[in-house]
Amino acid sequence: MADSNDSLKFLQVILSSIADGVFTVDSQRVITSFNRAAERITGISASKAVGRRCYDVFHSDICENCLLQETLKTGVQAIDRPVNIINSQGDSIPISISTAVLRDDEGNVLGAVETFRDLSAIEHLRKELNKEYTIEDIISKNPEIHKLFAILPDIAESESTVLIQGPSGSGKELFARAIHSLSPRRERANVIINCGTLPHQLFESELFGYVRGAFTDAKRDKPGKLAAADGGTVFFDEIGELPLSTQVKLLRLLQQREYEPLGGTAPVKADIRVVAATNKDLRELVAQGKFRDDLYFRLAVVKLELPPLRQRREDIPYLVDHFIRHFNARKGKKILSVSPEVMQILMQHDFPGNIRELENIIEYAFVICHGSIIKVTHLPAELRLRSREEVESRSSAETPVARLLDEQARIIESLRRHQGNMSKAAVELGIHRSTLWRKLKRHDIQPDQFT
Amino acid sequence: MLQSMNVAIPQLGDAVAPRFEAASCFLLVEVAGDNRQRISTVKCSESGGYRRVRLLLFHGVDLLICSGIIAQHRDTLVAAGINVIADVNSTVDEALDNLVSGSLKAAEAPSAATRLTCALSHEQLVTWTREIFAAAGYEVLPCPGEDCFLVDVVAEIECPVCRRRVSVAVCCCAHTYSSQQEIREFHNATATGFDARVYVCPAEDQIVESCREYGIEVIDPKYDRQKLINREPGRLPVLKSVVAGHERASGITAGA
Repeated sequence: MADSNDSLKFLQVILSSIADGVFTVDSQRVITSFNRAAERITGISASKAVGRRCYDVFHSDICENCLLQETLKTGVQAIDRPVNIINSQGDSIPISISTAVLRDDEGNVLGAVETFRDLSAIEHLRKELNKEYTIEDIISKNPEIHKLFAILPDIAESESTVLIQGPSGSGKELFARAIHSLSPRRERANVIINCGTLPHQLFESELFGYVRGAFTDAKRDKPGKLAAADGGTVFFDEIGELPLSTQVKLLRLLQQREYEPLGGTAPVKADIRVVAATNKDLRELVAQGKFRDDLYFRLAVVKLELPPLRQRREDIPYLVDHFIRHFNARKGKKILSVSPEVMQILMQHDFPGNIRELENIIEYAFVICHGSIIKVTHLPAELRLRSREEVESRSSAETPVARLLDEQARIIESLRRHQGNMSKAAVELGIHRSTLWRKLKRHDIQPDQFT
Repeated sequence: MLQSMNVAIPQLGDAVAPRFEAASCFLLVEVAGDNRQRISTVKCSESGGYRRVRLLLFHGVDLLICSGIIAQHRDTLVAAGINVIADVNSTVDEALDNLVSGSLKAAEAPSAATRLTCALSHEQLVTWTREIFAAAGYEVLPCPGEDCFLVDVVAEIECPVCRRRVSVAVCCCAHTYSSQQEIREFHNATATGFDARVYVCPAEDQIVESCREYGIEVIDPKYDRQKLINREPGRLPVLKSVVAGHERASGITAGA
């Protein structure tokens, strides 16, 4: 008896120390054990998981055709099958699972065991390598962005040309990729053409290709990017950089949906969907005579406007978390978070370079930081200097009492502006909701009075 | 009495399907008061959450009742004007009965597991904490710098073994947002400068787990007050966990 108890304890120690998630179910798929790694990956404690059916805990994308049930029914093992589950925070987590049936000494089925491995880091790197981004990869809590998400499937489903406008680094390419991945053309190529970097002399040959003998050195046919994108999507990035002489060629393509390779004699049908993006105000360029108005109206059949990061500050903490996970996977580090002071600086920064600038700041901090928390000293000098200057100018100008009164006034004003909505006020003030809540207590302000 | 609304429920047999994004069948019900009218089902064979978001928008759904759903899809639905009640693990009929009876309501937070049920307000928790530490012989100090808002109480006591000061930072649950986030920020704010950190909050599994991850001790206001404050000879009162550098003075038993 003592031996059997010791074996059981030994087994439990092993299970709690391994990095893979392990859980067992009975024949009704009710969870009977749940190890430490399973708790970590799912964010659900063993005490909450045990006694519940596995599909109520994991919410995987194959729960409707459950592998464990299949294993229980047939006795056949599943090995390393890719699956997505939802963790306690509502995030989709890619895992690989293996299943096996559990039998007693007589061969009777007792239940089944599943082991699973967190593939988040691998999946993240794979997506980055293959540039396979979907709408789910766009991180935002901003209601305006979510309104765009809601109409994006309809836009993607249509064949209409889309123009995405937004400042540099605001995620235009991600949106373009998301449109392609949601469209019926998702199985075909998504070809990206950066109009800003392609020499305009080469635009035509790159886009349309050429046939042998079209010009000196054209020794064989070379298909262009349109041919490569046949049946798929072409994304013209930085379309505002296109010179007028080239714009007319693009206009003809959009109007006639056919093109002629250089030196060719017969037109070729272009079965493509066009998505374009720019950080410039194309209407302004049209007014200045730098962009053809007929091309503008051809492109702007559906127009999406992406806001700059300073207008969606509530996304900053989520983006910071995302970039920390991203660089942890890429650089093999284990950084947990940023310090509250860093978060405050980031929340108050205007980010002229938008999300790309935030990414660069976190990447810089990863180089400097050797601990688990990114602190102010790990930020780029320019950002540190600016935040210090702001603090100094504020503190030199005001006495502590004046500062408190000013703070009170700013909070009241912000709450009034947002009808007592604490989340919006906190974002505007550049502080966390809980900090605002505590400040309200200190200043004896009732947020309800502004609703 | 419920106002008339269109309700969608992802369905798998009689049950609410385990995951919104993978559901192949949705039950559409018009609920008005106690009545359920115009019951129909729509199929969705394609994969992906946003195809299902589109389907619900197309059918003019006002409320989605589901089991698992990715936070991003839930946020999009809410932004598009569709309320979401998630984590419903029951039969479809039970879910509808509970909706009509008023026991099923849309929650603000992503998961019920991240929200707390605590009878005490933040202010009361702070007062309770200050009293406990003072009664146990700690010197309760004014809070550090103005911007260190997550530290509600700082308490210090002389170590009964080595006679050095032991400094404890305490954060009392603010009930204003995800406690996990509050714990993480408390951890960030107090990563250095304190010998021990305490989070005062109902000791729910997820809270205990998060705190354990960051080496933060949880004190539940339901714990026995006398067991917390009674100093065992040679031990640090109140704290249950091992305090680094003061191991010999750590580890009293203060059960619930």
